[in-house]
Amino acid sequence: MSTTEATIHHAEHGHHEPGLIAKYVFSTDHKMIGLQFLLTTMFMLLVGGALALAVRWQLAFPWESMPLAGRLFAGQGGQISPEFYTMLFTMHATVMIFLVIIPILAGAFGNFLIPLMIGADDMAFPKLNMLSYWFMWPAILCFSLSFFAGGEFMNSAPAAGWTSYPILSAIMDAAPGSGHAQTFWLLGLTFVGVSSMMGSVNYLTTIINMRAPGMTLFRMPMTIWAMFITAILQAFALPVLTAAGFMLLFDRGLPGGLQTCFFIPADLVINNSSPTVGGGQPLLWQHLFWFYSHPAVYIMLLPAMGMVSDMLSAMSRKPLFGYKPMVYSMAAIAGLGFIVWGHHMFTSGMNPALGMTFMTSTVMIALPSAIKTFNWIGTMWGGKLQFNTVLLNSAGFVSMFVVGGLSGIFMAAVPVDIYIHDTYFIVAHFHYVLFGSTLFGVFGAIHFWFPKMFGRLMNDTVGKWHFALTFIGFNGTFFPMHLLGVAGMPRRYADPYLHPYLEHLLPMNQFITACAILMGFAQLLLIGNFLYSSKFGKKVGRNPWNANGIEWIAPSPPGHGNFDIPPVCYRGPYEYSSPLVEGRDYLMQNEYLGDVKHTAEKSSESTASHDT
Amino acid sequence: MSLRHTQLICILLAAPFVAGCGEQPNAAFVWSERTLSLMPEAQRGFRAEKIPGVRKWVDDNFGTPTDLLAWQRLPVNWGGFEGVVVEKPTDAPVVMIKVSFSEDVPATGETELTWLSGKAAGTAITILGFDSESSRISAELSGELPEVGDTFVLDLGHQLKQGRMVYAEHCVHCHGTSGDGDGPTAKYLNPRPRDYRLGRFKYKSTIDAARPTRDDLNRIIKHGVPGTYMPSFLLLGESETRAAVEYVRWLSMRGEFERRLSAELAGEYSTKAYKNKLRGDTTREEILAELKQVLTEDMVGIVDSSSKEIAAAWEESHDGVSGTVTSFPEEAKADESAPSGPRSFEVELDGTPREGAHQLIHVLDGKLKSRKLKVISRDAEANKLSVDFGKVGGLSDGDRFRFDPSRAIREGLIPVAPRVADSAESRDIGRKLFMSKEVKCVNCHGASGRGNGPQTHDFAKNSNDDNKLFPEPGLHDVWGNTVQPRDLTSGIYRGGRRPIDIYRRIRGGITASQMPPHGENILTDEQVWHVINYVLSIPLESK
Amino acid sequence: MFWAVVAVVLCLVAPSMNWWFPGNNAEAASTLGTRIDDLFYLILVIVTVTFVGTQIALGYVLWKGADNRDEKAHFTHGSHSLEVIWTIVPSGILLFIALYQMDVWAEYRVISKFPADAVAQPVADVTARQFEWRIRYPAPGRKFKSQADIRKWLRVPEAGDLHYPNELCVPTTRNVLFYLRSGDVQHAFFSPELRVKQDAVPGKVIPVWFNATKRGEYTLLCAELCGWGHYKMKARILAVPENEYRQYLLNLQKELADDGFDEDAPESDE
Repeated sequence: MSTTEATIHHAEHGHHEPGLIAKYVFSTDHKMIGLQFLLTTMFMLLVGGALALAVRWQLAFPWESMPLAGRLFAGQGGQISPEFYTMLFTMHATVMIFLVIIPILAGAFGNFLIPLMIGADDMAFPKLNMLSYWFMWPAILCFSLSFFAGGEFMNSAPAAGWTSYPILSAIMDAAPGSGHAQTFWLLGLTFVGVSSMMGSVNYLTTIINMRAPGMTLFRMPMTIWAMFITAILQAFALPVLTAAGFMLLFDRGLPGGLQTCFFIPADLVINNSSPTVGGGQPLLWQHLFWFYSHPAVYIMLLPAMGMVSDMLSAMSRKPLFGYKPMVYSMAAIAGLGFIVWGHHMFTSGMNPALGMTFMTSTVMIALPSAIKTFNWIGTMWGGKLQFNTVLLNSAGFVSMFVVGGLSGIFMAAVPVDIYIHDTYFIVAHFHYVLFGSTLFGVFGAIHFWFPKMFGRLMNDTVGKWHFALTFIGFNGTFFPMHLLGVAGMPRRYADPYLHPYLEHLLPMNQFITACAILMGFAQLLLIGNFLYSSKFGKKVGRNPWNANGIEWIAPSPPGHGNFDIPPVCYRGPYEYSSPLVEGRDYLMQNEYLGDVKHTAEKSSESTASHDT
Repeated sequence: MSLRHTQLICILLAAPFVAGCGEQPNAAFVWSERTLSLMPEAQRGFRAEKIPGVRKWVDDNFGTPTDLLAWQRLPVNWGGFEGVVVEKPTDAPVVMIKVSFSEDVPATGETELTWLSGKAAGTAITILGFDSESSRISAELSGELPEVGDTFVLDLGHQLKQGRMVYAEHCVHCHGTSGDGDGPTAKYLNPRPRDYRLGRFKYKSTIDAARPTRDDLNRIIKHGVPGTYMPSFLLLGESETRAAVEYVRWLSMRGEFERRLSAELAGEYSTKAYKNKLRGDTTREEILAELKQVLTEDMVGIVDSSSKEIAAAWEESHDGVSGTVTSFPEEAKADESAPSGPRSFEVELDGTPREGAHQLIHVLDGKLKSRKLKVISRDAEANKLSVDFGKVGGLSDGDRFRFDPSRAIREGLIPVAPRVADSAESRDIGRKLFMSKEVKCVNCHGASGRGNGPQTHDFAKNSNDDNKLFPEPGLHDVWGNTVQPRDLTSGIYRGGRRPIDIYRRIRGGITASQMPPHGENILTDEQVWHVINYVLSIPLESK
Repeated sequence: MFWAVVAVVLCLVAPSMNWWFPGNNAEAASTLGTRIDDLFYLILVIVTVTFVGTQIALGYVLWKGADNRDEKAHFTHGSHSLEVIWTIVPSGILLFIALYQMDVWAEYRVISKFPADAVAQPVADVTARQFEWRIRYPAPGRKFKSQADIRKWLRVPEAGDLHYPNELCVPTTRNVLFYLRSGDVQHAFFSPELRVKQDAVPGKVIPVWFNATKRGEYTLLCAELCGWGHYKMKARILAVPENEYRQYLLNLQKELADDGFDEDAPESDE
């Protein structure tokens, strides 16, 4: 295989440079597609962040005119009206989950890193890859259109939460945003699903078929393992969501006045319309939705875990602690991830016996997560840490993941969840996991692989400032939310202070909002650093971090076809500080050390994991 | 990354911030369509000559949401604490004035004080604060100091301001800032939220077009209108609810006032009429001169009469002033068996009852609780009341009573016979009446009470639009919205489910919608109760 | 690490700042609520120890690693026994947590474990709708003969039923059960002080039980997004002794029977 591929590869190399549009827009090059994903998602991150700040504004200064953006709102006098508030948090979650976190991990880094890290010249299906990016845009278009669907700017977006529970989302009249906006939202969701599906099929094929010679499964970097498992999760879970989405669309009405009733029971009177006919079950949606959306949480987390494993190892100049347990625990998370969805529905009135089983499986999913955490700490233990932005963000990831994981145990315990469910405790929890963990991982990854993308380094001082401000802002924002949750403040309340027992929480919410604003503006540092460094950053060579992965052999930025010569893999990616080489603390995957040393190293590797 | 990309992204990033900058919008009252249909000069007046237009007349008397005005002519409980100066104030740069109030007044910071009597009567000052413990007001006074005995109102209009706060928090997004029932959320709601500007309310204890009483509004806020998006605000708190009621009344008066002024000008000076006139041989100058004359000469009279009529209409629907007996003559108590006849006694009233409207008092507690007694005369100066006790003895000191709210507005809405006990026979009689040709319930509510009677399929005439037929079949209310006759099988009663609520709906009809009043000539009291017993039983049998 | 210290300190001062469970002195007002709190505190202790431990470990390795003067980092690929230890220990703790919770959950939700007195005589039928709670009590003195009788009552309203919005009155002296349903979209019955939460799922009638141990006025609100007015579903649960509870129902009965004729019952609240 390797020889034939090599010839093809060389033949391609002589090709002329593609034109501007082919290069930047309709590119089939995985690196360009990765960058497209990265830029799109970073822009969406700002959009989602702005929506979040609007939410925070309302919670800190209820019903007061909003500065700057107030004029855009349909509410009177720059006020955020209650239905607009529901739209804000719905769209915040939608944008952040479907347009930022999932695509930035799988789309941006998956695309950019997979071929480079496994030593392939591109994805298995480059055109499909391009399509997967361009299917994001119909989704973005649908989500944007949903803001206008009522014919009035920004007052008709979907308002049923990102979970879109029926009946609220199933009946056009049920809420201000349940009209065409909800239809657009569901279509957008489908497009995102199609995009993810194309990506995951591509990743699976690429990872299975196109690894460099010598790259056995257990020599793959954790990032690749994570992307592999994520792709499997997506491939299995997404069809369920897509099907559920179509069922909901049918429930909402088909052309010709036809209508199904998968989720709509009989005799509901909504907005004074005639009673509904049907025999559906709203809980069915919750089951289907969470059957996708709980694995989706791991889709949103595993790639970051993988990348952080790689970064921590490189920055500690130390092999990854317990490589195989790490892989197995990741697989365990993915496996268990499919049987824990019910923990989102403990109070939903489903059969209580399910509550017990889901509680057990949910509590047990904390185990592989714990193993991973211990291994990360083990990786850093005794390391020679490079104290830069990458390490800080990776360590931040571990720290925040611990908080997010531990707070999850409260909710896994059903009786406690009776109280905690749908309060700010949940909000705190999933932001610790999705923002605290995933985004810190992503920030680290951006800094780490930036030299590979542009051949330049990002400014480390700005990077550290960005980390410090984000870290402080983040914890200032989300840690107090645990307390809000314990104090019983429910989610999705436009004005919690209506209820006397929550009145005293206003100052805390104002503090949170101040921190959120700080955190929001800190992201401008990242964007600025990114854009500036891409043009004016310090130029570096192929391997600025002295890392081991195959991607660091390629030129920075890699040309079309990635590698000068097809790489051959001799060992795992974590041989830092190996005693086999003198004078340097890294040993790249493709370095051939001669027969003797090579075998010696191999045997040490095979025994290493059983070392006591 | 090309430079062009970078620039493009920067512009995209900056766009929302640029778009968001600029003038900050303030909450403002929304003008009615009719006002906006007037020619600009009629709306705004002539600034150069200082001739006010409709909008200025309204604004000058009502203010803006952030700066409300208390137009004393209107029957609104503005709120404010009346007090009196009890000690000669100390002379210092900051004057401390010892005062006393008739009620507990919480300590305040900077607020407004209006002098009612004394040298400065009629003027308002801003005080630095009121300390409730020492009962002293601190203020910086430049002119003469107030004398002992001068009276004043502290924080005039605070109830209205509180009402606005409550309204802004709970009501505005449906009912709109000016009470036009067109807040941002309104367009999603069915039925549409009430438009207060007509002064018409559906669920109340008063006849036909009479305004609702405060109690009526209070009840709606507390219990909501079941089956609509008007929820129950039971837990709002007494003072908040009261303030909201006051604000709604005030908004309604403002709306009516604006309507009337605009209506006066709409015929001649709407943009449409203006264009028509121009098409004739009238010049713009002539029209403007004419308008100026109307605005300067006629407008004052129109403002005066409109406001008085509006005030009278709302005043009519008051709940009656309550009071306490302070001193009841001894000798009358001695002989309780003898006919007591007219007696005169001293009272303390919580307000001023209107002249000529207090023929009856309701006794609220004590021995004669729930009796109605006829008032012979009232001596306002001596706070004495002369009442005919007939044969029932007398009152005691401390008894509470209430002047009967004007009976005119409740004519026919107070049952003269108690409810007929609910029984199968009664329901049967009720059902027959329900079906009968005389009472005609079935025409709208349908034979099974589902609200699908024959009239709901007919096309109705639109009285707002030259009696043209409405485009869609069904019944319409005065706001032009389709109304669905109540589905009596649902067990949901918008105006409340107490027998008296349904009694009022049947007797008084539902003003502004198509439910007609049924007077004594159609149904006797007893028959009404039979119908009610039947109606209340429909949901129990339908399933 | 600095951050761990701040977090723990914050948690410690939180109760004194009233940033803790709602209710009098942060105590639950129902027996199940107290047990839920106990479980919460148990998890809190376990989690805090883990949290502080891992953060200190993390801080320590960062501190040491940043100051590592060795030429090369320590070369190891892992430790089998360590892996075994940190697999077995947490799994034991986690299983313990999971099993320890089962009882409370069963009592809260499994109908066969509901208190029999509460099941026999439900106190109310609560309907959540946009955006209020509509409470229906059985007529005072109405005794349910059987579960079939209760089901019939749930299906068909009765003439003597008492209807009232946004206020659920319950006796403190016994366990109470009510039936929860939704008139339109999904809602959730949430009383923070009583630690009761149950979704009102359209098309379902769900029994919920609790007991209020102390007399008081408890918050009732909606905890599942139900539209723009989600935050507005403000109601209360009045928990009073049995005799007052009876009196409450009688008063309500009287008020609801108001025919405007008897001046004894003033038609206004003033």
